[in-house]
Amino acid sequence: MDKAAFRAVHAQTARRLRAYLISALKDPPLADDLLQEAYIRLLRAELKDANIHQIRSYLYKTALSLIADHGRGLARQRRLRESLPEPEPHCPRPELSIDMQRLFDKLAPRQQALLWLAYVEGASHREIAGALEIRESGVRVALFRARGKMARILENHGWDAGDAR
Amino acid sequence: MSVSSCPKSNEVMQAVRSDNWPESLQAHVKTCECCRETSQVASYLTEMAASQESLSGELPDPELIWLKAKISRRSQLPARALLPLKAGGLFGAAGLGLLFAAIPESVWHRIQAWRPEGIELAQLQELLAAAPAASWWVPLAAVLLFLLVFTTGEA
Repeated sequence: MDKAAFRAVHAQTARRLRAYLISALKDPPLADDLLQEAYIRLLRAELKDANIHQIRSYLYKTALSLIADHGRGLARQRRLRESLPEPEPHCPRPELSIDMQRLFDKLAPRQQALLWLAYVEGASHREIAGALEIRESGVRVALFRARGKMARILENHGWDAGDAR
Repeated sequence: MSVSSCPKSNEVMQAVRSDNWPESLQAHVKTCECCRETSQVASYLTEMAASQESLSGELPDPELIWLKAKISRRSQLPARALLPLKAGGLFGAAGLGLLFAAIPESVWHRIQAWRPEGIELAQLQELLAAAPAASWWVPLAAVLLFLLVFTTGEA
């Protein structure tokens, strides 16, 4: 991949990927670090003749792996945070309160990535399968489960889809 | 397990993204469990994505990422280039060890064959008592020398 192609890929994918990482990690500086690492790995991988869907799939797969690598450290930090007074939350927009943003944390990282790819990125089942390293035929069931779980969580916390309409 | 899906779920996702809800679709969502969940989850995630994307901070500069990747590739290059050399070094050390191990034996046989007259074989054996020891310390020394050379290069 040459520099111009990389710039184009970055422009098409980085904003959403960073939003996903921030949503999953709740730590913008760490999200930016992992974002950079994901792109560095993409450049090192030298994917031949990959289209934008395959590249996006690779980026999410890498991001998921990087989140997992940080999992232990994050768990430690979370335990530490719980033992300390609640810090001022990072809330970029008042429309979606920090409590509502935290509902996303109730899902497993793979379910987060699955729902994000399906409903934010509008990715195909093939693309999702590539990112999560599962069979394409398994995406439908996984999506059904994750969507049901997220819907129940949202219902229990009073999120009404009608608010968005 | 029955995995329910609705042919209109794509329309629902499109409506969530564009925030454009035809009345018929709204009516459908009220009666379809699958589309209701899709609408709920998609609207929540879309709102979440919009919240995070509206962050004031700039995205990491792609030029910087490109540069970092280049540096990272370069730093990996010497290690990768040295791999065949290291493998060759190890094989060379082993071969040299075998060669050295063979020398004392051959020398010993030659000395026996060229033994000057007047020297008893027993005396000669006494003199060269240390010779067979070379069959283990020489190859060992050679291997250690090679390991020393190739591991100090990494520091």
